[in-house]
Amino acid sequence: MRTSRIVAVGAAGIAAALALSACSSGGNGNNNAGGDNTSKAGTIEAPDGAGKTLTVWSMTGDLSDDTIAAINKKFEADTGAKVKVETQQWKDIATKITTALATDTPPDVIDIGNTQVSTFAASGGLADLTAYKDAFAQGQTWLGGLADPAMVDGKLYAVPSFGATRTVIYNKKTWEAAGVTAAPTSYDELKAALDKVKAKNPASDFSAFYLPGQYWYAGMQWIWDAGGDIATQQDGKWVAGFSSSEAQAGLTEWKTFQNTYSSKASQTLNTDKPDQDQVFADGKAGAIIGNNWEIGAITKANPDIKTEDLGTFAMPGSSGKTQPVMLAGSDWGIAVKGQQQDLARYWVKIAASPDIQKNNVVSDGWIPNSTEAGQAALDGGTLTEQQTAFFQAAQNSKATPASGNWASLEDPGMKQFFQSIASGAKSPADAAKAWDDTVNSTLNQ
Amino acid sequence: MSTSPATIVAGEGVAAAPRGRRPRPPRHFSKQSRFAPLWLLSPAGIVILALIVAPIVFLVYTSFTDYDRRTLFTGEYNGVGLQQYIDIFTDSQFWHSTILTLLFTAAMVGGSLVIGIGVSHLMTKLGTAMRYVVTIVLIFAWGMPNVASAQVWGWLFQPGYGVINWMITQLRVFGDQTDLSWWNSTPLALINIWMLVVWQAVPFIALTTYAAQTQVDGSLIEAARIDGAGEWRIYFSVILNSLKPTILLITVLSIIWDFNVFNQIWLTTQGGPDNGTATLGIWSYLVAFNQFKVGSGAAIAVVTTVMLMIISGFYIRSLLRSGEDL
Repeated sequence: MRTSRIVAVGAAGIAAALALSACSSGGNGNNNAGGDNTSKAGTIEAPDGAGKTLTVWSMTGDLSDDTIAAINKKFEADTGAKVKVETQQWKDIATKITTALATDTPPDVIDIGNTQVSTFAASGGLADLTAYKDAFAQGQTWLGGLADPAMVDGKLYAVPSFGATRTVIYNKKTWEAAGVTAAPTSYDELKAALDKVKAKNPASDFSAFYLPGQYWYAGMQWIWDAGGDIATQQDGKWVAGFSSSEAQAGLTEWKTFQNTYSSKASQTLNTDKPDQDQVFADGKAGAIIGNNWEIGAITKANPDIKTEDLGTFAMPGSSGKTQPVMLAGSDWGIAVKGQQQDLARYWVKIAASPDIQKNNVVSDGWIPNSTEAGQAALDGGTLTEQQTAFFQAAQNSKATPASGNWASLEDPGMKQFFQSIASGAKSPADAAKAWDDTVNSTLNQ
Repeated sequence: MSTSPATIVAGEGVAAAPRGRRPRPPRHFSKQSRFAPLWLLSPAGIVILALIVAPIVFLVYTSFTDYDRRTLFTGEYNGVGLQQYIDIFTDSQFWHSTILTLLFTAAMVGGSLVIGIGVSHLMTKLGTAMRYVVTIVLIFAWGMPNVASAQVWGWLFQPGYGVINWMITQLRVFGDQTDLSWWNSTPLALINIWMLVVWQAVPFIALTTYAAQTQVDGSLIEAARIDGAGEWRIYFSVILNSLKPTILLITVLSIIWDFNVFNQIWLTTQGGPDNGTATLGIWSYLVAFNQFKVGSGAAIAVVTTVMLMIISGFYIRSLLRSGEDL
């Protein structure tokens, strides 16, 4: 059944591509690819890869082993080539990928966090895929938060792999014990609920809402909700926005919320040491802001907590709407210096195919790379109660500035900026003033 | 540094006199023997050329260019003359990092020397069994990779869960410090890193000094005691004086190591908060490999190297001089 669909999609794709044009090398001179009626849409057909090995860098915690195996299975069956998957850790990943892309034998395909694609694209490490855009899209409309950072100066440098958002994950039993039985729908309701949870659990190491100070992905939600932004482009220049009155209001509210409902220790921590899922699983937190996969991590860390004990809801904002969330996720990039471009493109095409997206990616708990696949998942009624909140939160999403210089600001810059405010080491105004200077000079260099 | 050869020549009159008179074996300048040293040296020489000299030459060259992230892929860069150096010297972060590096190095070298030499003296007073225990403990601390020890340090001092914070709270002197964040304030972060570095530097210093201290001539101590010198007087005037060459050597090595401390800082604070613990090494890494301004980072590294050469040059000179005096 699945095979026949793949064949159908593949056949349709090949036919469409054949009808459109002949192959294009997708070189740098091709400025108007896809823009006019002589567009050179490339086709991606299974090349003969017998005896060859494709190296794929996958990030730890991204697509599941099963999904990668499903992609590899089809790839190996179609091309005869082997796939070597190397799982990478997140620490210092920007440095690691940059150095890997610069070598003469880079990995062929790389899993890149969506916020970091523009960095590698701008520096010329990723192959220009503009000519193959339609062949990769396979009739689907990609999520903007994944596709936009992959487009630099109108050229496509990476193909959306999957998306993810964060919602509130809370322990229903802890909340019920404190007398809260329904998920809050407004910011005030949330605070009222947390006040009850906090009153019921007075221990100093208990957090009604565990929100580590360095967790800037979550902190940004307050700034966006208040109408602020990291940076905006004005007359071709980036202007940092943390000092704006909106961002200041958001930061002040975030600090109050963090200091009120999260343990004092958490002010200077990130989500990894200690692992916030472990903190939650140990009963030291009533709620966290987390990704979908963290539900599995919590139930694994403490088998006494069952999946049905956990509730999720999109974080309400003081604006009255849900807080905008960062659309996290990954894109597949192809190293410009890779020696097997045709094989790499074919592998990425399979990974981005509706079949993999609608089945494997959704069952991994991720949001698929296209609006069609996402809608299909919501309509299909197969989503669990918890998953639905994630798909809903994704409706109101934001991304980091699409600048090649952005990535170097994330670590340790953004972490330390939010930490200094949460801990009270600096006032929101002082911290923003210094950080805006750094953001401006970095983005505009 | 340039005066050190002169020092050697001056000292030779006394120290090297017997050696100078020794009759030389007859030399046969056959073709083979003339080139033999070259052949013998070449494997090591090639490795040094490829892995040390070439990168340094490239580093210095890069510091005169605008080499950046883009260059890694395209290979394009432009010579910018001294611009990178001008930019560094007008950057307030450079002066902050320089002063921090100098003071922090002095604190680490001073701390590890005082504690290390103290431990060495302690070991001379211990019984055999206890001395073995201390030696083994020291070697364990020394043998731990500093990446691993920085990780353990992170756990020990973690706000909320750290054992050290718990112990400090148990002292009931400083109040409840369970949630103390050592890496959120510059002074505490520096104290924390200082402890980590000194803890791992002490074993080498203690064991080396102890080895030297066992060689101190007992008759000197006895003579001093007969002359009525107290134990403190004996320690400072006789023992420490005999240990001088060893201590000087250790000092030079410690300065070089502590000046370049990187892992322990990067793995605990990443140079934060607000570049408060960004020594020259950390700052140059941030510039070169976080912002990928490789040219600028190279210039910082060159300046750092020159500073280190000047400082250690002074000590190496004294070291050579004291070595000749023996």
